[in-house]
Amino acid sequence: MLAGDEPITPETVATGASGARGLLAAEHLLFGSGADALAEGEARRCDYAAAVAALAAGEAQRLVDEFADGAAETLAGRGGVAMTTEGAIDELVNTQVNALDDLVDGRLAPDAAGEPSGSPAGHESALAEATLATVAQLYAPERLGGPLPDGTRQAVRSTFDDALAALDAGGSELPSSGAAARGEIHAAADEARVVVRTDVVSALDVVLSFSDNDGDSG
Amino acid sequence: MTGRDATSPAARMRLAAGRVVPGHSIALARITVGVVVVVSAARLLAHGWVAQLWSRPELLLGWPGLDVSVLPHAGLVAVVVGVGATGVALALGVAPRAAAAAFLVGFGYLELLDRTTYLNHYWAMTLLALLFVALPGDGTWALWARRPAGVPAWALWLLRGQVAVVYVGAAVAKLDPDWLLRGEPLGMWLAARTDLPVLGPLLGLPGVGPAASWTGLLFDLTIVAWLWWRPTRVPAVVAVVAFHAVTWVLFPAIGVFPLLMVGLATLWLPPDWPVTAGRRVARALGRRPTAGPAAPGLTPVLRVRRRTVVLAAMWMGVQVVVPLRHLAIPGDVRWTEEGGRFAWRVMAEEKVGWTTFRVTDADTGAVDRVALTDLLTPTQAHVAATRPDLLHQVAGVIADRRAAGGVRPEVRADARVSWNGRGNAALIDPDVDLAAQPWRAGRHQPWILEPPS
Repeated sequence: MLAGDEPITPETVATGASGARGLLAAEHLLFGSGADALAEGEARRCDYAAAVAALAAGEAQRLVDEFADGAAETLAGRGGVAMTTEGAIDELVNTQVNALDDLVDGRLAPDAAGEPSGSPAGHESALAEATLATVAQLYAPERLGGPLPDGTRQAVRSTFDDALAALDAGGSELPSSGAAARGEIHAAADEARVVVRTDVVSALDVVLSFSDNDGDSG
Repeated sequence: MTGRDATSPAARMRLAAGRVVPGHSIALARITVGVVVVVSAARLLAHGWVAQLWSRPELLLGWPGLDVSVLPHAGLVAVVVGVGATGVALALGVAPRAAAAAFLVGFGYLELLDRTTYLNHYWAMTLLALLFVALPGDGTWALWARRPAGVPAWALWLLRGQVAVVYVGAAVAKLDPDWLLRGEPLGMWLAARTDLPVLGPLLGLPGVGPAASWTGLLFDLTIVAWLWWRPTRVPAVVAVVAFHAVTWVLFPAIGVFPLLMVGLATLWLPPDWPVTAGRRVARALGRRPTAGPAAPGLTPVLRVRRRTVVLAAMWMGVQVVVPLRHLAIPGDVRWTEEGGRFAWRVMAEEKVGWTTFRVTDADTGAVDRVALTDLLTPTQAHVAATRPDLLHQVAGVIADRRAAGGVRPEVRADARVSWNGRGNAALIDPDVDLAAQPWRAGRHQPWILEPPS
């Protein structure tokens, strides 16, 4: 689509292939090959990125509206996937744990970060920051942090703050950060992951990605 | 037996032990165990747990010195089906002693495959099956059994003693400051159930955790006495039903355990209680009850051999000593888990852990990280992450697999555990090469760190 000369609007993007829209397209436009042109004001790339963003925003808003109209309850009732508060918390924490595992064992792992990742400049760093910040925000007192004991909530806040500070100190381009800085970032992110995987899981009585066995040993 | 002998307490007890009693309550216990076996086997098959527990895991953590080969999936399914069939035979009373023995073989094989599948109620079922093999046969409510109806009283006493050990053992395991003073871990568990209908809103109230903890402790500690004492026997059975029904509603993951314990609690009722209860119901419905003695034509008193007395005493002695063996091992069993199995530590603590191993190449010094979930399924990892013996076993496997030229790498564990709501703490000394540590059977492992205060 970048190579063509047809006008790029949300409507034309909406009719394109699935790979040419959505978050994958946004990632490519913002960080992929030739992304530097965006900063230089390359008009077609800007139009494309704006169209992809507008389309995604529209879809998200439609989802929000339908949920607000009671579609969520209808869906849960019809689909047989009615979720309890407990089940919803399990889902949320499992999603966070998976994201943190992916971050700590994959993207931030010392051996992986030691190699030229091939990722566009700033991509890994931005992704790590987004993951850590998003998870940390979920444990605000008005959200999942509400049912947590004070000590656990404080542990979440301090470890995620430390991880974000380490990330910030490592600079915006993670692959080119020094080995020591990368090690510190990894250790701090791992500490945050451990708090979620142990203290939070225990306090919220979360079942981590496995079916309940007929167990009796707590 | 002389007249003087018969007046001594020991002789009177021996005489009472040999008295033949109706076999209905023991038959009901046998049926209960049979039904629980069938339900357990059905759940294993219906939920796909055969694959999840035994076929799918890349690594099974067997018991040291008791290695067994894992069968292909179809073979494992056949074993589970066979175990279910032994449950049917037990429930129907088809060669019940042989059925109990066959259950022990099949179920024992499954339990030996992987230590992470250990459950207290599986152990209880194993012990009960052993008793059903060893106790005198009984033809009550049996489709095909070689013995006539009626059992010596000592057989009933032994079964009661076994069930009593489970309750009292579960109470003793809860005699700790967390349970008594902090009301944990029950407080945490109940607070996570506040979305339950009716009961839920009450569970989040202040003080519910300690109140529920003390109630549960007093129940476990005293229920056997209430069952034993005739005036409180029937209310105690009602309390058993209510208690286990509530625990099943609150903690559905405990599965078939409530059913097992409710059925076994009826062992304290008069041995022929199902018959008398049936007659009362028939009378209440205006029907003529069927008559007939419970065990016609039986010798009223059987001689109890000295060998029987000694074996029964030894059995009960073992049942008391084994759960308490942790007292002979330094350290807090709640944290170290040393002596924690076969000890009726039922829902006594909440622990969640996460472990990453650091593997150091002996030649290059390069350090690689291996998460517990790289080797184990989430189900296995959930159990292993809080148990030092299993982490030691996994460290050994990692070292064996990565050994190059006969030289094993060093394997250190960053094992963090959150225990009864405390902030996570290191379980194992992170500087120790865990793979190089010998396992000191029956003794404290020096590389296990002190528990958090």
